[in-house]
Amino acid sequence: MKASALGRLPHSYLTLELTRSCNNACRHCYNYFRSGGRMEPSSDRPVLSRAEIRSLVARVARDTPLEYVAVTGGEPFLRPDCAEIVGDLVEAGFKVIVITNGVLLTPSQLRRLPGGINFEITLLGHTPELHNQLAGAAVFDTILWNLARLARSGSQFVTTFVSTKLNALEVFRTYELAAALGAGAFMYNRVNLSRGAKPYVSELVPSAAMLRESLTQLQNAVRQYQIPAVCSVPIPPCVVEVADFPEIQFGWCPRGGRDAYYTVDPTGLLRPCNHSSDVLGDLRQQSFAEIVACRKTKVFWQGIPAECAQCRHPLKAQCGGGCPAAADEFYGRRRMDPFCRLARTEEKS
Amino acid sequence: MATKVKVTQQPVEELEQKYGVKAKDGTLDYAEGKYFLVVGRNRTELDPRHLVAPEPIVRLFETKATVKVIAAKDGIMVIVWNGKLKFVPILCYKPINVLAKRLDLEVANLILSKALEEKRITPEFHAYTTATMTPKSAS
Repeated sequence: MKASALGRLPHSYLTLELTRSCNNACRHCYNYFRSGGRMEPSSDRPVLSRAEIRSLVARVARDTPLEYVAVTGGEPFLRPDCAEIVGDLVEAGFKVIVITNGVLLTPSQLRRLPGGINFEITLLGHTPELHNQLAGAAVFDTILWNLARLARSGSQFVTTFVSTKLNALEVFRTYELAAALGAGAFMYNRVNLSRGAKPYVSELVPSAAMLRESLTQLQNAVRQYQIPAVCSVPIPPCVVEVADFPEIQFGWCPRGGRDAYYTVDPTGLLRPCNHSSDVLGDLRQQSFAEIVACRKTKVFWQGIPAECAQCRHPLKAQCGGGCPAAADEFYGRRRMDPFCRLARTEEKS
Repeated sequence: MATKVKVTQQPVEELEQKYGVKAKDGTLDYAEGKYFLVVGRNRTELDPRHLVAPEPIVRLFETKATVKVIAAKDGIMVIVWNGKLKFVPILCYKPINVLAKRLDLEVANLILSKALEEKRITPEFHAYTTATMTPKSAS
């Protein structure tokens, strides 16, 4: 079926996973392939070549007004031709965002990359001890050097902070450090749970009270320094009332809407987002429009969890039960985002 | 650059009709070849991933307020200002990208000096950053 027969899609964003490999060992990692997902697609499929990626993205752009391509992994720079793939995407006219842990963003790597791209770089704490503990590797100093060089080169970057029980109350000082190094914004993601994170729930999930305190710190930092802060992973208002933090921007799961970020794995399989292990189709065999229009895709985005049926919060429609992929991965079936129950349980204990 | 902004008091719907702008339509709009993001009436509808796109934020220097530009068309900007949707005429403006939101050099240096004092960063790194980083103020 051609896109013209299906109608032009509205999506402007695509996530492209270049590799499953990573040089960090974060316990909070949401990638299903890092944590033993319930539906791991076969890894013996051949990985897309650089030429295949170029062609695949061009075909997606015929079905939808694609504008942004986020290049991620695993750690994308572990793929040797990452810089060249990014170059291809920029040359094709896309705005490219590279999501990286920053360890391999060396001066030589930076020289290979085209100008005008944006980076999202993980900064989990303001001290070597805190960052390295969460990253599972001694990389803090390397990242700071790479961030400083990136700022010097004039590139734009935001830092990404994954909020866990270990670092939630260190967010003010982490924001300060990120801002001092030249970050254009501060992305605050509360930990998003996967199956692999189950053994570490008690050390990862902050209580609702701790999360509130953490967001208060973040709001104070924004008021003081004026660098924008945004929560990308949804924070359901039954855990924390997000309206209490007007200086922070809160995002919600786009649920297949215009802002959906369908994700292409390294072999060309298309998933609903980078949190989910559900395979919707194969872009080597099918068009993007066909896959987005298929029943499996529609079922994935359907409805809200039964636990949320009685919710009367004004943001119920936006929240929709939090991250549906997290529920699928953590429980093995669609329920309310596991973070809701666990953060509230932590608070009671 | 001084940017003069006069906030209109006309009802939103009236202005939407007059200028053909729908703040909620979630599309990109264009003004003088530069695009601005349409993010909707409710600030919670902002897609955080667009923070890495250019020009999501414009600072109005005259008021010292930080606002979000959500559309610009025919000399009118639609902004969220203190949580409220406003339509403002564009008298003089320039899109300010994310880079320009960097901290002032002096403030950045103070933070890095504190980090050095607390031994969170090395003297070599502190020397490099203070010598080479040139964070730009929005002006």
